[in-house]
Amino acid sequence: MAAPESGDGNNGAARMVTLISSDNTRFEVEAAAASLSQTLQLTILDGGGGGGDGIPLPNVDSATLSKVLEYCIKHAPAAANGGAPNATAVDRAELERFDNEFVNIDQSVLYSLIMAAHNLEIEGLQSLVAKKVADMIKGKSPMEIRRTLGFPDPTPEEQAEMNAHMLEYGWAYE
Amino acid sequence: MDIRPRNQRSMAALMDDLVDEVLLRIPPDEPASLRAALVCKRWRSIVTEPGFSRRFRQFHGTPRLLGVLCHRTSYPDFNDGHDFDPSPTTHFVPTSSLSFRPTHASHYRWRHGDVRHGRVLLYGVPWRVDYHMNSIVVWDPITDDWGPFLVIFMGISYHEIFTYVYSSESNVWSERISSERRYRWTFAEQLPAALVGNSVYFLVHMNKGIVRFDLNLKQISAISLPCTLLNQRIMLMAMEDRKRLGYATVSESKTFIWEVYCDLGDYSRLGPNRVIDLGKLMPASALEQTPVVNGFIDGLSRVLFIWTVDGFFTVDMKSEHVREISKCCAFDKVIPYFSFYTPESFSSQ
Repeated sequence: MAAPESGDGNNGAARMVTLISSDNTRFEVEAAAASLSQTLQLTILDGGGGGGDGIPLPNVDSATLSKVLEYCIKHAPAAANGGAPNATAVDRAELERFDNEFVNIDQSVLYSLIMAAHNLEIEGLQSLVAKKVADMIKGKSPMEIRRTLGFPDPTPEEQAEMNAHMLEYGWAYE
Repeated sequence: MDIRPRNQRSMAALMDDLVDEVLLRIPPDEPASLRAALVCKRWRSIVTEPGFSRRFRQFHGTPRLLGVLCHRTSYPDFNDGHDFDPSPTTHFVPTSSLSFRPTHASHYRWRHGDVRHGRVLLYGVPWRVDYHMNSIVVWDPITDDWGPFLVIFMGISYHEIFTYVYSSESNVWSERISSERRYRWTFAEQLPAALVGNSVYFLVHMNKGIVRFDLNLKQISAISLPCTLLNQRIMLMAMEDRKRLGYATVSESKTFIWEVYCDLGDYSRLGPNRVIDLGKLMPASALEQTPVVNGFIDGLSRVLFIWTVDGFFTVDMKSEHVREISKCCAFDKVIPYFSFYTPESFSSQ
């Protein structure tokens, strides 16, 4: 793998890297944004992903990857200066607004996102989706949680087991 | 694995690590981990794994003891010497190693009544002219402000037990809600009330009984207590299931936790539900006088706050871990102040 000449991005244009989704779509993105992924960061620090090479991501499809990169591009500037300390209240509020809208999506997309965030080790994105799912189930009964998250209907054995536990912990429903 | 997802992208198929991440983020003030345990076998094994509750605590923090509220008699500067002014002042005395100090640590001529959800209820103390008389203030030492809250005022008249409920959101007191006075109780104890389920419980008349106010049904009921409790110091609290009412009391160097049986006339044959032997947990010097249970917090752990002649101690009811939190022991009517607080959240204000 040849080390690209573009270097650390201080000489004019920011360094770009190419990511290749499981369905062979190529995404060109700033190295700083892709580096939000701990997994990619190592490869990028080694000089990978530049020029015609590209970094293949066999576990992430293009729809998910484009969503992941949307998050990374938005969060890269804040991450670059070490998170919150220098950010103004306005910047933080803007990121928060972005985050809230970002996870306002279909559950199957949320699922793909959290899996991708987990695989690519993007901590902020993983927490964001986890928080969203937690918000979806908070205050719900076990049965409602099952329905909300698309669990299949319980088998008779499962139902019996739930009933038994419900007798023991029934107060948890109140 | 015992899951049959409808499709590959269902949250039901989420791997354990990620389920764990989700469940950690459920707010700490609901019994969510128990609900989660009932969702399916796999979730149950995740939340019942011993590390989960530790991670949950790390993630959310625990309400910490930030200080104690105590009364001290004040001698204000403008006092001319002839006119001794015994008006108490509520003081917030920090006990925590965190650098938390309230902006207004003292409230002259106010008396604290109770602490709940990080907010303090203060009663005005009448003096010369009835300046503060009949005033009630809700104070949040952390923000010096308050969020939405309810105040339940309970009183006993010749014929009735009555309550009024104030809501900060509507800024009005409710209509008077009353019930016939069946027992010869004449006053309410100014001790912390207990919140169990949707009911608030107040001790009355030297522990002769308990007045229960159901917030949902807006109903008052009276519970008589055994006469052995007369004039003992007791602390009302929720039992471990958070469904039943109990109380803690100390005698012979032991803390006893009793359930309150609302429908039984004769308590004498019923033993305590729980006994914690303070003699084994505290230095002997602390037990030279009978300690007093002064407070109780019910969060992820259930902690008693115990006053002794040697200082204040917390006792974790599960682990029986005892911690001395303050050497100071000269306070009158001390109430512990617990709240969620992190130095970061404070400095960012």
